[in-house]
Amino acid sequence: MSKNREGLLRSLGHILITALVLVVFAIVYMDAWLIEKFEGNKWSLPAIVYARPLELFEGREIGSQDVIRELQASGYRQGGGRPGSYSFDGRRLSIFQRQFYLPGKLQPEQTITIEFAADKIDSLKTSSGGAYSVRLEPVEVGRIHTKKKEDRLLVSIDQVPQYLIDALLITEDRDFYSHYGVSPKSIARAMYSNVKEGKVVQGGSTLTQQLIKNFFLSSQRSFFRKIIEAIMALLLEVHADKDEILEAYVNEVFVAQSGGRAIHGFGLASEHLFGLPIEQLEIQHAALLVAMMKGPSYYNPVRHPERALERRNLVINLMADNKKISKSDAEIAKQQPLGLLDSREMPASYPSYLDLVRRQLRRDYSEKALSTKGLKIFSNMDPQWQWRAQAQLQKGIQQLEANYGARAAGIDGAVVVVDTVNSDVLAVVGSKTPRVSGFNRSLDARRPIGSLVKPAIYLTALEQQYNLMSKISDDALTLKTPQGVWQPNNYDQQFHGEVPLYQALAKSYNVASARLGLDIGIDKVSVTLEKLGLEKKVPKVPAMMLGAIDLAPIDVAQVYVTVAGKGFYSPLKSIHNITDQAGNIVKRYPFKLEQRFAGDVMHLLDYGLQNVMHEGTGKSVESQFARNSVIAGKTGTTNDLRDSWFAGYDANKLAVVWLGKDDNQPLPVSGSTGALPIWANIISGNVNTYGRNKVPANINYLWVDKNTGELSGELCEQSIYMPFIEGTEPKQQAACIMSTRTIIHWFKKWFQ
Amino acid sequence: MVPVVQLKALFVVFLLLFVVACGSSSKKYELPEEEKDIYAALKHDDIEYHEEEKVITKHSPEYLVNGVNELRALYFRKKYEEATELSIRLLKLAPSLTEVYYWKARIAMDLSDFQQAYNMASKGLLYVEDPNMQKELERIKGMAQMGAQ
Repeated sequence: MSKNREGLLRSLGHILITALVLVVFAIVYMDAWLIEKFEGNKWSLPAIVYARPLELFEGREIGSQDVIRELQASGYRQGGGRPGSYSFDGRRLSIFQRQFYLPGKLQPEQTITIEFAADKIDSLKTSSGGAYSVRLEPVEVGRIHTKKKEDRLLVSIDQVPQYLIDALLITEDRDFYSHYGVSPKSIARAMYSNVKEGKVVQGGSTLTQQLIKNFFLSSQRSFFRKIIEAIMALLLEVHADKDEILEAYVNEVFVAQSGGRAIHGFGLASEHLFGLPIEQLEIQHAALLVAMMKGPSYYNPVRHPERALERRNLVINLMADNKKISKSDAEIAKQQPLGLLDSREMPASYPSYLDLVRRQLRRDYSEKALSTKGLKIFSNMDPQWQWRAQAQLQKGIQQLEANYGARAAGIDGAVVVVDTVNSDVLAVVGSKTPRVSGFNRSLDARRPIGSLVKPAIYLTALEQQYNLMSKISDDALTLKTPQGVWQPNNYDQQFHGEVPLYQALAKSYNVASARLGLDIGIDKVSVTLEKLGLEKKVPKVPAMMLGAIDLAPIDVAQVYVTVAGKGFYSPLKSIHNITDQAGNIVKRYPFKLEQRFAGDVMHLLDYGLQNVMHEGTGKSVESQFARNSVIAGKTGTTNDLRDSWFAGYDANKLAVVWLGKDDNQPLPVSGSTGALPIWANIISGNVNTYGRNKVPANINYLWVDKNTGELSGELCEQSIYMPFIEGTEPKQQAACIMSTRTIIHWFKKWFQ
Repeated sequence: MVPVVQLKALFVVFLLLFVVACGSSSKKYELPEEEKDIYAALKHDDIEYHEEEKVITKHSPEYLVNGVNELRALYFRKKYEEATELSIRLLKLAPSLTEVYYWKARIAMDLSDFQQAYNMASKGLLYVEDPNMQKELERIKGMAQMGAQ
């Protein structure tokens, strides 16, 4: 008997020792894992994409309302006098600028005072003094999250107002500073309440345990899980001090859901709910945040305002009872409304532009790095251009719907705006409902470009010793191709005989252009398109001369920016540079140029495209621009009017506008009557249009007869002032130069 | 037949009219700014009438002068990254500002990016009006070409 008992005891002993060893190993493992997670990069921080900062200086032409709109878009509020606010009396704008980061530089808090005279900055002064220009805090374009779409704004414990900490501890963990991660007193208190009520009404978990549950473990609820949680809470208290734990909690706690985005941490919650940085929260805001901890959905202040208000006031009462605030402060706080941000004040989103940024980033960063390391991406988006493009596209489509009724049903569009100096993409609009993320037509709607291809044909011709007065035939053309007989036709269904090259371009004659392209050679035109920046391979068929190439508006913008840039190619850029969380620049996207076409040839093409706006398919909008504006562009209309295009530029901006239906049904408009007016409304808002074209040294301007191309004179009727590359000028003189009619015409001019 | 005397008188009248017309066209008709309305423009070819205030304007030269001075200073202090940032900001506002292309070309030369130096100088030459600046840009182009070989 005693031998059996001895054996049993020995076995039990072995089991106990084994179990103890296993528990010790488990604790050591948990400890190592906890240290690694807690002391490393704790959170997935989304990348934040910013627009370009608005630069202001004396003499800048910009309206006060445009500046205020950007301030509001950056979260600035009117009144207050605190950082993050502004005031305006109709002429003087005072900006109380917050501290913020620009790449490699911390911009300090300062006060900026601007006086406007009409739509111009008359004077600009800063409290820091000295600077001749200031840059405002950039507007946020959007964020790139992980799949879980957690979003947070990290704050340090020093930034958190004391009454928020007080409210949190009173409500969630009164003994926070005296326990070691687990509070037997809290557990006992909770058990007593729950047994008394007959259901779970109170939790006994400390803040440390809650942090462990949210940060390290899943939301699974079981007794075993509770044991693990308690052990890990004890371990965490060994390795971290109370302030570190509290700081982690304040940044981790789930507060609210915003669409697909999970708002974590009080830092982002205070901006999301109240539009305020955490330092500026008042008692009632702090109390509401803590009130929501019990149940973010149940106490959601947007969906259940009365419930949220009641619980908020309960928290305020608790704070007063525990003497964390005075009774009078408590009464004042309880009288305040919830103070939520109006939905109109919510930051806007720009999903089409963000999409472009994302695609360009994918070349250099993995999705994981993008969505977890808290990178700050400074893009080239210009909010003024983005808003203008969005508004004009919407307005233009609404106008078409009003004018054409059912025939215009289903029209949508896209706009891309580019700075022609350095190929920065300023605006991307992928839909008539730009705030909604969906099919991004500016990047993904690949449609035939129609007559937009013609500048490439004419450019190739001009490089081959053609000039703008060279005669080309617009007579009927029939071509046998492997695909069958091809007979292009003009938009007006007529043939125009021999026409000068510049006119064929201005009036967009299909037959003349096709014939010219075939004479020069499809291969040569294809090479020109490649040099202009087209990366896609083009089909080497005759129909290519009439734009049987499917491109997205962004691809068209790349081609036309080389034209607008006088033959200098620079790849389109949506990103300026990238910094890490600390503001250190980690990547730049420099401005690089490559001259691909000679200046003289580009000058001729530019003249031809300007003429499109004077007497060609673009002339209907010429009067919208100042007389000395330099505008140029090309319309594009595809077969059966399925696509309406316009690509055009002024001294420093290019815009490409496309209209069409996703089901490829015909439109009631062409390039001239659809996309062109929208383009004009966008570009005519450009006040910074100065910039001169110096005539290349080997270009001679001469008066020639419009129809014959012969040398004429200024006073001849039918004469036009035309540029020629040296050596290609016409030699024959027109009869009008010394005719009697000329003299009579000359006298008429004196007496008019 | 018209009498010879009358013909001569007619000729003298025409001659006088001719002289008056020459005289008036050589002097630019100046109206005070506030009177340059559409009616004045219809009467006198020399007056330009702008329907709106949309005219090509220059930014305050002070900002650009300060900017170019700062750009030059940054170049000589070899702060190329800051200089590049500033040059981009200046070009956005003044795309034909030749000096900016000049300093960008010099930065590229210092960094041995001869291709970029060549391209920047070429772009600057599109806009240059000052003959000295033109010579400088052509000199840089030449140096960049040699450096690239």
